[in-house]
Amino acid sequence: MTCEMPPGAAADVLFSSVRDVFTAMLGTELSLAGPAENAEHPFDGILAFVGVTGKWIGTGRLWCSNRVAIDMASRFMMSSYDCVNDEVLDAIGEITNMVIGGLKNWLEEWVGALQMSTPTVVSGTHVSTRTLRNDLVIAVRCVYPAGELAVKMCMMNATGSSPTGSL
Amino acid sequence: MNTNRIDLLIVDDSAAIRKILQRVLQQTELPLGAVYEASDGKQALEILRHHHVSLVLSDINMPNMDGIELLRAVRSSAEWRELPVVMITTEGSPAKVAEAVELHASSYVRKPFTAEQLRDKLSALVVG
Repeated sequence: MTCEMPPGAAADVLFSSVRDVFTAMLGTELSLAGPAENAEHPFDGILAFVGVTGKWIGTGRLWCSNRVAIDMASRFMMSSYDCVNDEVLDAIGEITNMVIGGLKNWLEEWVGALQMSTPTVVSGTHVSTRTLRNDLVIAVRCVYPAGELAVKMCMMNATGSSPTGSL
Repeated sequence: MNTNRIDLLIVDDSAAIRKILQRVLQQTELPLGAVYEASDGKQALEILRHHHVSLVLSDINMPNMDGIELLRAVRSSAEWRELPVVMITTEGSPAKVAEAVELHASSYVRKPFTAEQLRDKLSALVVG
């Protein structure tokens, strides 16, 4: 199993997936703020992640501040929230599911069929994340009027063969 | 039962998505009647047995009984064979789509969707 994706294409697809969700379901535009790696340091806010499994396995994640999460959830649920509650967490989980689902649908052309887990959402302070092995990292940082969010997919080849392409 | 109104069954394991679908549909001009919710295919079949439903909106990936199994059960029932079932999901794999088409899903909506896209798909079914 190889992974011969055009360089940069996966990040473009990931950003398109975020943008599609924001445009269609949050009713707002967003733009690319850059790669997400630099944003992955201990932070206060919300982290949602979705497991992906197949011949490639890994995790897709989205993280943002509480303020951005509340704004995203309010738009998504067509409600007005003033704090992080279960509905806000559910909304961020669903948004993450759709964003990662969009990328997953494209990745399947390159790495074969993939299955996704249900999302898990973490709310906390000084949250750090660490992925133990990555063959493939796709990451974007996005900005929209309420603030920034970052999305990242880390995957490894479960078949043991090495990817032949780079991103 | 009001034959002019759409008695809708929303099947999704996510309470958030069920709520969003209801709110989006309330924004459309579709004549909604009763709206029922189920979190999996098994619950959906229970509701179908006990209530009049004129349209089903169902996710594909769900625990216990997924949307494809639900569709198969509906299509194999003499009572519900003609019931419009719209599959609504992030699932984009050609195999899943082909399976839904083979089982005569009435339509297919990919998440993310706009209110207009959902309204147009459902209007076509209701009018058509």
